[in-house]
Amino acid sequence: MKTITKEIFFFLLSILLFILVYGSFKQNPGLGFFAPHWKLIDLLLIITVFFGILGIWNK
Amino acid sequence: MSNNRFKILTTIFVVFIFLAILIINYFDVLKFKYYVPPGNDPTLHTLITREILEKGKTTFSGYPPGFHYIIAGLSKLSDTDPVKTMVYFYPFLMFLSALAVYLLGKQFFGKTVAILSLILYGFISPQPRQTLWDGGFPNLMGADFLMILGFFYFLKAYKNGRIKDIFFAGLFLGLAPFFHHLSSYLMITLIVPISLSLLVLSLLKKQSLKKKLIILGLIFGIALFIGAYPGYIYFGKEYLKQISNGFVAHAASWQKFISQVNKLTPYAPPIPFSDYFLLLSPYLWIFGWLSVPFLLKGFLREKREEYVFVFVWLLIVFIFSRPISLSPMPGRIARELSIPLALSSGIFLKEIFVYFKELRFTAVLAILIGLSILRGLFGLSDWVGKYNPMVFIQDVDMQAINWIKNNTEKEAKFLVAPYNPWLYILTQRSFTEIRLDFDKMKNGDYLYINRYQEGYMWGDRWPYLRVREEVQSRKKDFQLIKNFGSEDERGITIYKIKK
Repeated sequence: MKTITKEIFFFLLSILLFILVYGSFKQNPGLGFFAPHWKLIDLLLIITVFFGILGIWNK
Repeated sequence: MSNNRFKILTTIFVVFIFLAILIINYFDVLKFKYYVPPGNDPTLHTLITREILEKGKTTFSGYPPGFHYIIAGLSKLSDTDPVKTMVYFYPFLMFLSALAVYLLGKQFFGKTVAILSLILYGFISPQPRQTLWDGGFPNLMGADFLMILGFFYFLKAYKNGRIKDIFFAGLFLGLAPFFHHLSSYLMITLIVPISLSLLVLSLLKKQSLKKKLIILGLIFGIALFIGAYPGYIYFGKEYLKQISNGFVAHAASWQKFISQVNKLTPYAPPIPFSDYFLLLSPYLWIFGWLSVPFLLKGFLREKREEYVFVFVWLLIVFIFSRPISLSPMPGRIARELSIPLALSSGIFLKEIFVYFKELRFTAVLAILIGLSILRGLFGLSDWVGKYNPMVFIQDVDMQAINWIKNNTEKEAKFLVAPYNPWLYILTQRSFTEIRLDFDKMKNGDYLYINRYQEGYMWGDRWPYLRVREEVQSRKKDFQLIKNFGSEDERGITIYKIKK
């Protein structure tokens, strides 16, 4: 369970960070990319934080 | 590498970061040779400072005068005009703010978090540099320097109970209201829930609540004594009334207090959720909130005061950046998220590598995080000349101002259309702004048509075009005296008003 939560946290975190890198390269400083997709990115952020809490709590 | 050598290298790196912050923030001022600081507000700051220099005190009761006393003091010391003093002092505020953030980070979360926060705050976060754009110098001094130093000593004092820290906590928290009204409001709305959260944590840690209450009482007592008593002695009752109106005058009726606070909301309405990326940068927004699991672990599991402090700070400022009761100007409060987000981003960036120890995880994270920070740093070049559209006096304006000083009598009455706040200050002539009120066009000796500045934050081109149209349609009332720059709305034209 611990390992799965940690893996999910890592997976979501990697996607989020990839979006951050992709967005910032697409249009520096990335605002043209982030603002229209804020709902999706913030939702992903909330889910990542949730799995982060689960992962760290179970450690 | 020996421990000593590593320490020296880290210190050199930190000094380099601070030097870079200074260079970046002074770059525009020196490269473009600013005549005046950016924004409208500095005109008011100049008038208050000049009054302090002339009379020894200020009669303006609407603005806390701490910043103006500093500028007056520096002007006196350097024998410089307050406008020039402000031009060369305002970039230094960013340095002071970064220093406070670094000290807070280093004291409570270690050097790594402090350096990471400093890089994000000093080079990547658009705030508070954006605050300087419209002359929010007292705001920066209050909320981003004195309040942060106050928090630094406050948390130190709460943890160790040392008299020196209690005194400095009271001193810096007490000083903040002398510099900025909204910053004082923010400070109070933060320090109350933070104190309560710390007390709850102390209760959970089975620490002596009595001792903690005494520490808090002493800090607030000193803050009040230092803040209020000299305020009464040196700045007078009116100024104290101004501050108390925000907190006390309407406290008799809670409803009245809320309505008073909410009346301010239209001046800075809440920003849409999508704009947090724009205001605070996507890097700070994402890294900062990703720290939440580590902040929660820090105070719920390890029961560490500094983690509850940052968590409550972040949460309260975010809540107050939304349209809720008691949030006076949510749009303005939103930018104050930059410091808690920078600190929590630093925490995230350090803790994530402590949590994911395996190479396969750390390699991926290091590449992604490294790339995003690098890309964030590339954004620095966008700041070159960013303030220029908000610097309302440039070469062409200076030519017009010098012409006025050399060619018009001191008693001459000028009308300025639509607007330029600096003319009175720089010419010492009587200037009345008529904006688009054309009925007032007769009430002066000269009409000064100001130029439109591309990129100006608070206005568009059409009022400048409209003024010129109106003058063209009433040609017989005006005699063209001189034109500066281009002959369209991008230039300045002075007319003599025919009587």
